[in-house]
Amino acid sequence: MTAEPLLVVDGLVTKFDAADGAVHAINGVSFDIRPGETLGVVGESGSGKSVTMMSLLGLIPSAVGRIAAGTARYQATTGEVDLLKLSERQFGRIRGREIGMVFQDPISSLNPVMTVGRQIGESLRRHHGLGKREARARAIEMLARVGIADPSHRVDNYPHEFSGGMRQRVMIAIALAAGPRLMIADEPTTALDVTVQAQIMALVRELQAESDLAVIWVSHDLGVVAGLADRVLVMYGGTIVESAGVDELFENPQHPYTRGLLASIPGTGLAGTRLASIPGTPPSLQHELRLCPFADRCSHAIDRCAHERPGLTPISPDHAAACFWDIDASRQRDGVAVVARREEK
Amino acid sequence: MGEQSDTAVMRVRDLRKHFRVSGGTVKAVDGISFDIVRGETLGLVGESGCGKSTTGRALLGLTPATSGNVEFRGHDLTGLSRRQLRAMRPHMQMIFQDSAASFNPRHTIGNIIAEPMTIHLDRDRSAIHDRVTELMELVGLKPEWRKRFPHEFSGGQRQRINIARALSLNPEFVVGDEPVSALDVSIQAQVVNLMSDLQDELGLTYLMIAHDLSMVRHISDRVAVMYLGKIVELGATETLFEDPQHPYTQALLSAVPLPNPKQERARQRILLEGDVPSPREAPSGCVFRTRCPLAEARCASEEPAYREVSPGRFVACHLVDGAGSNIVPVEITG
Repeated sequence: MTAEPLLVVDGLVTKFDAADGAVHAINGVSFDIRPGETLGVVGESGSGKSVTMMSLLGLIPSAVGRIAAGTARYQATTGEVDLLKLSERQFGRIRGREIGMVFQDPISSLNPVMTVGRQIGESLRRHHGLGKREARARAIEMLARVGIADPSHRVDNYPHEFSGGMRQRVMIAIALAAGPRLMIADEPTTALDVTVQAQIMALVRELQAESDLAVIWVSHDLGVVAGLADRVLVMYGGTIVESAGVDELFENPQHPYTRGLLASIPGTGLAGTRLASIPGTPPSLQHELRLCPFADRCSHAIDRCAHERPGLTPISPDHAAACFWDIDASRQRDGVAVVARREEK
Repeated sequence: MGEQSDTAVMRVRDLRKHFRVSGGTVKAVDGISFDIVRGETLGLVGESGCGKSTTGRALLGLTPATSGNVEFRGHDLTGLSRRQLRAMRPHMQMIFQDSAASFNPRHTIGNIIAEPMTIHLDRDRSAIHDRVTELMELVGLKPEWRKRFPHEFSGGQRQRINIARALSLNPEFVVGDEPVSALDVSIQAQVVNLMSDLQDELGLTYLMIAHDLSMVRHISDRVAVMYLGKIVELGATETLFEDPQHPYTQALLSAVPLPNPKQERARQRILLEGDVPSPREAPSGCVFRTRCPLAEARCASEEPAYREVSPGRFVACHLVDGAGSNIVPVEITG
């Protein structure tokens, strides 16, 4: 993992227009990912994890939302591109070929009236100029690679002829057919049963062992992330509140939200004891974020948290958190960057 | 089920619920037996299509059983007329997963919580008003919110409204069908804690249907594992999780991701092949045999009996003897 980053996202801001004003969905998100690395992105609904991925893939509908700031430098085979500044036409060469995508619900991402073979072959014919026969042969190869039995027969089947887990394998085959170096997977196993989820997780691990495929795996399930990720981003209120190597994050969480989240998973505390819960609900994001988004639910909040917004600040080489307070030392942390201040009247 | 029967709130015997569909019969629930003891939480787990929700609905008489008995406080619900069943309803309630879909969006939450009382009880308006106040306080909602509408509440708050409504008639027995699975983790914990407080306070008996095994382990006293319409294993929560006997239970538990990266890397996993077969074409013999890494010839020809292999522990597998498991977890991937 000494290679140069494949993708560097810096200061991403995404806003949506709602009837009653703007929704500040993403409020300055920065991270990077290297070849072969698996980056887990966790957070609860509305934390901005899916919107971040949609922003990177050019999937924010221009009628309702816009990318207001930031860069996302991606090392494409043809040279560096900024994903946040591509036209729809330029994105056509990125999605599928450079970056594969897998979403939660395969049935709505697959075309119901096209055989899976043609759907896998589509990106090969489009991106690599393969003929019909070669594309079909490669589709069979891909189906075998994602663990579908009898691929030369299944290649002519339609999506409804596959079970949920098999469909997600087909989605992965489509995502990887054109040989992208990055796969963005947004809750790819959330709709699956746990035994099938284990199969898909094992498959992704296998595929990564064979190549230097980088994976961004978005999940609300900390267990899934613990099993797959090398590094983890924790999102809250459209920001990254903590970022660390997977062992470090689970063993030494520093942000109060991360601690609360880990404590509220059943099985992490003692059996028969109450679950730790985080009081209150996540922020509405109807205003520009000028204070810590977690301040009103945080048991460690100090005066400053309601007036200034802490930036993601390195704690150690492998670890960064966006919090003014050092919980273990019970004092303010030194040198925490301030992103924004609340104007006082 | 021996001595436990005396305190059983629910006694289920050989319950079946079959649905006729074009091209065959779906045996959603196919001969299950268990008791639910007063004051306990029985967790019912299994993957989609295993019949756990149908079981919950059949227990409350929301769907008529095809055969078998469901005895609630000594009354067999399967033989009751609609009117008789209706008289039993106040004692048994259900909490659903999708709280938004179970509310009329144009009713205030005060009316939503009061609705069962206006249907089942002959009480005057001020008595109902007071009871709604009491219930809202009980579940952690501010009584002054009673005039608000469901969309003004978050998912966690809507589930509190749902709980308040379910408790309005002082039920003894509550079925929760995935009551927290639509909620975020930090909010799940709030609702789970509330439900366990209410159980202690009001002496409730719960059947908790869920697919999240860590959650089930946390809330249940005993757990039943279902696969394709059958209970394959039932036992006290800790023994079942620590020492699963049925190969399906072993595989299911080993597939649950643990929020601990080092354990995740070190653990042995039993990876099952393929998916659950369609309940329309359930395998002969043991329903699990098509995915079971240990299946033998007799598993295809002979259905394993569901029997008590040790006190309080029931397993339906040819390969499990009374002395305990002779099954060694199969090591596959890392």
